[in-house]
Amino acid sequence: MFGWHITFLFALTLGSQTLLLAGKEFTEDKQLNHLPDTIILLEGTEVRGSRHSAFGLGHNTEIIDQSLIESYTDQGLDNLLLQHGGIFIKNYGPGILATSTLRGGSSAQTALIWNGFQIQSPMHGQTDLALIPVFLIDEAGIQYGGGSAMWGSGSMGGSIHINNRPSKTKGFDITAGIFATNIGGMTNQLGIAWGNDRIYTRLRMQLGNSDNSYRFRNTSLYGSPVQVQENAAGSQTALMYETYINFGNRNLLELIVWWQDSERSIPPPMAQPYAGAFQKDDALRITGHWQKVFDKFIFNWRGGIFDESIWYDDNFTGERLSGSLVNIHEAELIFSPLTSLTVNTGLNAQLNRARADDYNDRSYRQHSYAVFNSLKWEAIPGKIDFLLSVRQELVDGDPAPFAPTLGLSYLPRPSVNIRANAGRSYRVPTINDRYWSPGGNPELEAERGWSQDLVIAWENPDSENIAEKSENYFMILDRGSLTGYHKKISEWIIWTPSEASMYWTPQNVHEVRSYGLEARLGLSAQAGRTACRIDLSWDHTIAENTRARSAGDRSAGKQLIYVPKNNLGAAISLEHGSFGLFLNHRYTGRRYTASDNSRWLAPYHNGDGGIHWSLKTGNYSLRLSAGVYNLWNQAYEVVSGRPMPLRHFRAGVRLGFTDYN
Amino acid sequence: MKKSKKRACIALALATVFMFTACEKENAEPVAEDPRFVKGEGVFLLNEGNFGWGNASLSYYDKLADTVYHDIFRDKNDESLGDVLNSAVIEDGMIYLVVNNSGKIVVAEAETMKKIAVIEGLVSPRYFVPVSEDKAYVSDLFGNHIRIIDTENASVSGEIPIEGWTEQIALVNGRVYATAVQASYLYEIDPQTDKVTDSLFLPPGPAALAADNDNNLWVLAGGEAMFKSSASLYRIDTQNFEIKAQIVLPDSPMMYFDISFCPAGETLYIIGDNVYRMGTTDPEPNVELLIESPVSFMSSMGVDPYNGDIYITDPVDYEQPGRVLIYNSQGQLKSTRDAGIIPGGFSFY
Repeated sequence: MFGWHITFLFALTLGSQTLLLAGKEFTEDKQLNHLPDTIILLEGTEVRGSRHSAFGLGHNTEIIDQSLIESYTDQGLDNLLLQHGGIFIKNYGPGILATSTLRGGSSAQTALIWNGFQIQSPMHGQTDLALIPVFLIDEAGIQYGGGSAMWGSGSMGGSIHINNRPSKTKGFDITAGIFATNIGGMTNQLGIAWGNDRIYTRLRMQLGNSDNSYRFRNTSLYGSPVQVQENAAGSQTALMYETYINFGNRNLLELIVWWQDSERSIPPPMAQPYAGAFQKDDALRITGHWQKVFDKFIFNWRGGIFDESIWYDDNFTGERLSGSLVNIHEAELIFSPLTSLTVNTGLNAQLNRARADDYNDRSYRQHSYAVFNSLKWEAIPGKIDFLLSVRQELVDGDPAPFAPTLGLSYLPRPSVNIRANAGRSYRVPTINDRYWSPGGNPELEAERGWSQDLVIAWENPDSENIAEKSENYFMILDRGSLTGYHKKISEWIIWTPSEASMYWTPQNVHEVRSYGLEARLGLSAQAGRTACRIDLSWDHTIAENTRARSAGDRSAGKQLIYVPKNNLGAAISLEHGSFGLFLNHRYTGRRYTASDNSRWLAPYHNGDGGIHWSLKTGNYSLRLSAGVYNLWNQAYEVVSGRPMPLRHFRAGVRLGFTDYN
Repeated sequence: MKKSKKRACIALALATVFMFTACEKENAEPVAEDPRFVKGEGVFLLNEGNFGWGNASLSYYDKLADTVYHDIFRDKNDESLGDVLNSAVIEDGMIYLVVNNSGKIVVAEAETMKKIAVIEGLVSPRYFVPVSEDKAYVSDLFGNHIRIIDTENASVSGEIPIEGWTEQIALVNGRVYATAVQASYLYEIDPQTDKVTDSLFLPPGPAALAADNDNNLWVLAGGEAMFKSSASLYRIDTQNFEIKAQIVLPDSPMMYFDISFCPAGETLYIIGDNVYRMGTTDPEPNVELLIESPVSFMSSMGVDPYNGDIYITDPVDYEQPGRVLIYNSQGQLKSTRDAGIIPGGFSFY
């Protein structure tokens, strides 16, 4: 038995998994009525993880299927997330820049949370998802909607969660993979892991480089000729080391070190003939986690140091260097004073330091301290749960907006879960917002807003029975959910020319109202030895600026730019013995490029597909895979002036050796 | 089992409905009546477009019909103009469109807007000035030079090395004058030899220039916002290339950034946070407020050489089509017209 399976039923309500799918959360909710009067240790349940699972009540959350993570293991997180219709990836092209938009929020309003730590840059509040290697991720998921009560500043549109998890197997596990693309890319991966009852340790390394010499259609030229991208080459070295140690079933220690170095040429927009921009991104992230299980409560300490730098150079502006150092500490207690009541309380302290040539060579600090509390109450065991979470943060001594959240989970029938959530979220100005020279505005207020969610989720109670009883053929509707939401954000920060100078400066000017629907359907089918899974999604997002800023401003009541109203997705996976096939299709609606909605980029359909074949013999395993991306060879731009590649291909082989005890 | 199949079929049907109901038909913008570009009757509105988006455009305001036609270059040539349209000059029936971030000058027939040629090989061109029948100069933001253009062959024929950013450029009294913003110099160039013949130090940051009826050159050194010092207007005697007067402009929260003369050439308009005017023939020139800005930022100014109307651009939020505000010479608003994305200049035809 693994040591980190430290265990007690209490943990079922607190975070047995770091991320949960709606259905998964649903399952755990059903178990809440089994909470005992006192904490009882049980075998086989993990305590490890963040507080999301228990205290994210009422949100729409999705976990990304493991097979999908497997299929995109040689790519960046942007391409993996792209397979989910609910998140819009603002992609400037392979290897350039990819940020995310959830529910009409800006990229800085989506938190990227790694093992419970926010890892957006404190300088600009964003993360380049293209730089996150999927190979270093074990779990990924999306939480829709504001989550400041849990995660603090930045989680206004939603959160992307990526996590690492120790394997439950004991012994050695070695994998090596090599992947190639027809646009000049090569990725090498190596993973070495070893574990026993008390220790699990793993080293993962990825070396990748690509010419990114992809074909695209240059729509800025007469006749839109097909050209080959010549200035997008890049390389990346990434390394992650993890150690998990269990002491006496009551102490868990984790240490994770993640280092990566990325270099890339940045191609010019289509209408710009010359190139010459180059960027180097370095990141070192070290986190620690100590968990102590007492008889009456659990104590968690988490700490992290994130050191990141960007070196940028182009022919015109010259070299620019910037970097940040983030130091985070968080302590929390989890206890259950009453049978039906679970409490999570803690403190978070964070020090951000940033330096940049564009801060006039100065460095700036940002201190923040936060206290958070969550109460989860099982009003009717197995039927109704309530959640109240609050968070108060002080940033450089000034209070950030108070962030309360109220959640509800109701199971009218075992197969139906109705969840609701209402809360306040916020985002404090970044260091760039405040101190960039010229233009920084130290007087900025935090963005703030209220959001409400209503989720109806359904899970077919007969799924497992049918699957077990059917020998040859079946097709069932497995699961479905429909989420409606509403959100209003004020003091939205945008950079705009100032009335007081010619420089662009950030100001609290926008007020944005968002509302929409998120629909999901899941089907399973089987014919003989062939199993099939189909996932369908539709996201309808209305995100409107509600306030005209001047007499000539026609943006009031109009959709925000680069927020498609409609995204649809269909994902099909087939398994037949050792063969597998996937096909993902997406429709992305019109992205307005003018705030009065008078100009837009055309909607597009896009698809990826791939096959894989696996073989396992004794201690050895082999997996061959091949994929085609932009299957329909569509010429499209996600961002104006930035062409996406036409059809291209990837193929890879991965070898594994295991020596389990 | 039957129930499951039925549910699955319903789900697929619903999904199909989702697919089709969410698919949008792309609405085309209304097709405008075919415009006529007649000399003396209209104004070309230069729309920079968003940096990097390649959406620079050209609009045309037909003064007689009181109609604005948008995206005329794309309509006539079926291709985009490029990235950041900075300035334009009409010469001998041709319009030279300086597309800054595309590093090119597009040459089109002004009467038809049909593209004739593209002058490439430029770095970051800003302003174009014809200096002879077959030669022109182009200033440059990053090139450390002024490019010499062979207008007969629409090609670069040489360069005049000048360190740093060169901005506005003008031919006055047989000599070419170019401002160098960062170096704070005004350069004099002999267009016969393509050599810099002299220079004047005009702090802080000379950018805009205009000539009066007496061939005096007026140079605006923009001032405060960039250089943390007061802006100045200089009057340069082009016969002797010397400073005849320096007028320190009133301190302003925003940089003064452009100047234009009225058609008669005795009144100079200055744009910054507002529009000011100054009589250049007055013994004691007095800068007075003419137009108080009705918008958050007036991004450019032009003066109609035919009737003296003052054109101001309002880029609104820089993410939607901007506006042109048209004032008479007394500063009274005559009309407001739509422009393209980030209107930033005019070329009066």
